[in-house]
Amino acid sequence: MWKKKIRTSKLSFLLIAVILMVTSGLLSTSRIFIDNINSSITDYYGNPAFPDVYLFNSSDYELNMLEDQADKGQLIKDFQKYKAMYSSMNITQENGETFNEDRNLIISIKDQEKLNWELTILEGKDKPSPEVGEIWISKILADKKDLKVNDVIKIDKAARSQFKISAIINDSQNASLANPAKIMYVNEEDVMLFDQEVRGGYVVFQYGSEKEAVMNYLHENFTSNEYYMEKNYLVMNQLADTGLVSVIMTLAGLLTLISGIIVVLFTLKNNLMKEVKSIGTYKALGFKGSEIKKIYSKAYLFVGIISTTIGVAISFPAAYILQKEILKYLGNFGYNSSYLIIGGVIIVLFNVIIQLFVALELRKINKISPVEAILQTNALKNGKRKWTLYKNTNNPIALSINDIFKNKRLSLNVCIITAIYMFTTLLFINTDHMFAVSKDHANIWLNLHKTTATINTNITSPEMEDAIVDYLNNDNRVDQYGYGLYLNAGNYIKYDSEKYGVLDGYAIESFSRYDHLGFEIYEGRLPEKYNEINVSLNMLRDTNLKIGDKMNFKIYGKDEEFLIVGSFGSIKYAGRNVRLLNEAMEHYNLKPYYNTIAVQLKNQEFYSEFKKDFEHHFKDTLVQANLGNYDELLNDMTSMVPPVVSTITIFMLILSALNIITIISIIMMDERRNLGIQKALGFTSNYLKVRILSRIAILTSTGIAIAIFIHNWISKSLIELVITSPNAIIFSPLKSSIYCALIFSVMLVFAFLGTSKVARINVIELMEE
Amino acid sequence: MDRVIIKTSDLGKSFCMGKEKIDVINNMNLEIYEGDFTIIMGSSGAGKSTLLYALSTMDQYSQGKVELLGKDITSFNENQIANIRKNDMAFIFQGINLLPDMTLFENVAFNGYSATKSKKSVNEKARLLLKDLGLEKDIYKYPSEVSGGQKQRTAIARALINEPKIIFADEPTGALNSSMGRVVLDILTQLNNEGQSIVMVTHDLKAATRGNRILYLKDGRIDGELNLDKLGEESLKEREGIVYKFLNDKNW
Ligand SMILES: Nc1ncnc2c1ncn2[C@@H]1O[C@H](COP(=O)(O)OP(=O)(O)O)[C@@H](O)[C@H]1O
Ligand SMILES: [Mg+2]
Repeated sequence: MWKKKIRTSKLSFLLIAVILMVTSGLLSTSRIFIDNINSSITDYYGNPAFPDVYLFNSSDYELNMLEDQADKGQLIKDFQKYKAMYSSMNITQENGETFNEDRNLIISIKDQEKLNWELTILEGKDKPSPEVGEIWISKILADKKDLKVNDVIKIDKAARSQFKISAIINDSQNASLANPAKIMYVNEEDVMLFDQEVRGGYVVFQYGSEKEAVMNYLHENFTSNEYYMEKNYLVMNQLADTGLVSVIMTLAGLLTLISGIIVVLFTLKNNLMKEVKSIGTYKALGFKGSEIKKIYSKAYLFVGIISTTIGVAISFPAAYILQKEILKYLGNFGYNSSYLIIGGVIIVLFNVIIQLFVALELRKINKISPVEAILQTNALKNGKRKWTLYKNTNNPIALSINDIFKNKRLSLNVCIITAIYMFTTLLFINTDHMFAVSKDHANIWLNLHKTTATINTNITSPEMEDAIVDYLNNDNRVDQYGYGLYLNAGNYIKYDSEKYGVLDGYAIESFSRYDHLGFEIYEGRLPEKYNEINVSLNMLRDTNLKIGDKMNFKIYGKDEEFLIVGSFGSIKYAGRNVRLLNEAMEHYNLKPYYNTIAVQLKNQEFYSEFKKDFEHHFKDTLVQANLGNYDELLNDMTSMVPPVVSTITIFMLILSALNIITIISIIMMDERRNLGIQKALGFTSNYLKVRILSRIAILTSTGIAIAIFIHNWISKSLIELVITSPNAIIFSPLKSSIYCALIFSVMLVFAFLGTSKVARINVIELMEE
Repeated sequence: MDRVIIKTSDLGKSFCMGKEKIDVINNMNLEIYEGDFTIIMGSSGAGKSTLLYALSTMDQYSQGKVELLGKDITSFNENQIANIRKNDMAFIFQGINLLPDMTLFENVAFNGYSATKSKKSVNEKARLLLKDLGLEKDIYKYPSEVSGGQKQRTAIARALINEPKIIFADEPTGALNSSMGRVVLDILTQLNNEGQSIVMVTHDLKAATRGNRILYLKDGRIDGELNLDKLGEESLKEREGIVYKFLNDKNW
């Protein structure tokens, strides 16, 4: 019986099946993806052998001290030491192009099997270590610079020696795009090729006691830790890479769930309303209410399970491919049981909802007597006057407006469904736009400066600091400049986790000044005195502080008070950042190595000359245009988002196209008989088409208008929930308008194609029904 | 001689049932005259409806031609056909064919609005027609709220709103009970007496009696014709006898 039901209303069931399939597929993809990304990363770094600290130090004395400490085995343990080089280097490819990367860390190893961190050879021969004259590079670098095994590179700091790339690797230290240093591996014998001044030791170890104690020990005794990385930063960088995609997927999943359920229920309701007559017939034939219910329940159960299962089945490879792509620099993560669990939950969830709804709707229909049901043609309730806006007319457009009010339920459905899909796609199109223009707003996204030049250096002494300040003051090409320390001022000034609660990670940054250098401020003002700070919005939220409040930091173990004078947005370090002035460093007698100089030139044309002069004047400095590596950093973090967003948008578009087709076919089915009558009365097909088309045009434009309204109203706040740099949320009214116009036209074209049936409607067939 | 308003030449219509071709109308040459109440009779499946549809632009035919009011409709395009349907003729179907989301009044008036007529005059006329047909009290009801006879009377009012030159009716009483059917037939008879040309298909003897020219359709041809005077004061019983005899001869 239920099989026959499906066969006789093929179209209705097919439609709901397709909607269910796409919705469950999208939802399941996003759920599986998010679940697996986070667990893959934590599982990966959960390896107990992984060192907690990775550092490069160029002082033999300090390295020996650290080794002695490791031998004592109290403070630190699982110590490993390698000869290594760390510096900004000019590395040239065969075609003469330089890498123009930030600093490079080149580590010599004997046996990759014995490393405490994870290294996997992806391409090239699996050997214990690179041979003499060979170098191993990471897949990240290979992808970015289009390098292949057997390519040859030349390193200036190694007396321009050539190295042959013999393997491309994944490396737990270097798995994140957000990691500034590019790590490479060479043979131990080749270390001697490198300049004395860039050579040093690379050590890794685990905490043997409290992290705090280790930190204090390191800060008190070591001044030459040029490269410093912690395991939790690696994890955090990895999460930052994937975080944006996860956020988008979460949003997509949520919106699909909401819109999917609404659309499925609407379609279901429409389908069931059409069944009133059949139900009346069943009743007249003596079927009990429960028996009728079983027919429909079984039919929908069958269709629901088949379609959600197909949707979920499609989501498995989709999530797998997405996950593999996003984590390609980390390792290989295969299918696992969570796929089946999430997929199963989604199938059950969807079908339970459908069954409940079918039962509910059928109960309403069941109350109608057989006669009422059979006689009910266009579901007109007795005595209920229909409101007509335009009286005394047969103008097709006026009548189309009457039709809208006369078919309120259908009209409402069309508006709501259009509004839902339009809103969702508008949100994603604008999200896409936001990422597309993000590279112009790296300063806002990542709490950075925005100037014509950025200099990477290590200001290792007060003399050097004075010399640079002097140089920049006297160079009349320079308009403004500032210098300071990004990311790791936190090694000297500590966030008080006892007072404000533990954070996964945070960054405290210090700069000589913030004004005129393109630093973004959200509310309040930039810090001007040693005891003034800006705090990122996310950190304000976490700590429950606001502008005007005092915030405590630990310096040399003592509580020091700072005044919050402004806030800013940032996604760097999970959006937890603090800005303070170099004056504070001086005030508290801290002596960090400043590593970044932001220079605003009077004219961009001065850049090349300025770079040449500066690099010549100060050794071991790298001048880059605009934001230099930071530009690339943001680009690396955001580059994965647009493809994902586009894919989701396409899915959404398929869904909305399907819905337009449904709506048109519903209208056409409802109207068939009436169209025939009007044709017999001498109304032309064109007249009738205009009437239907203008109805669809009015309804879809209303839906689009509602979508635009909702979009303007909540999209920004919705994205703000997940992206903690509000000023970087930039939408494109132009793209939105073009898109709306496009969709409107496409809908009309679809509708036009749908109404082409009108001309073919045979008056006679209909009259004889 | 009365004026010819419909003329067919070698009219033919066939349907394809799978591979088989069924000729429903064969080389028919027929004239229908102005002012007549023409009845097309025949047994069920004889092709009465098929013929009427062909004469009235409602369906296409396979061969020959039909001249309706002096115009050859064979080569007419959609707009020309719509124009004829709207201005020159009206068709009353057996089934209920009112627009369900309009009141009886709207159903009638809606068909009358045009660029050349004032809305007020159309509305007045619609009200008058409905009143004449005894629907005064029901004009603001919806089709689902009235009986079959009232619906069919509304359909007649709708047919009259544009003052058609011909009214076609395909078993207009087929779906009605006999007393309601009689009311509808009375209305048609009276219209004819006022000069309205009517072509009506029926297989009901009593209904056929109303016409003044009865064509008997069999095997796709006109198999006989009975001409009577216009229905006057004479008793219907007597007239029924004549028609019955005519049909009996045809093995009806
Ligand atoms: N659309 C059609 N397709 C095939 N055969 C048809 C179609 N319409 C009518 N017929 C056939 O044509 C014949 C005449 O039908 P019809 O004109 O409806 O008869 P009547 O109105 O005299 O009862 C019947 O045999 C019927 O089966
Ligand atoms: Mg018939």
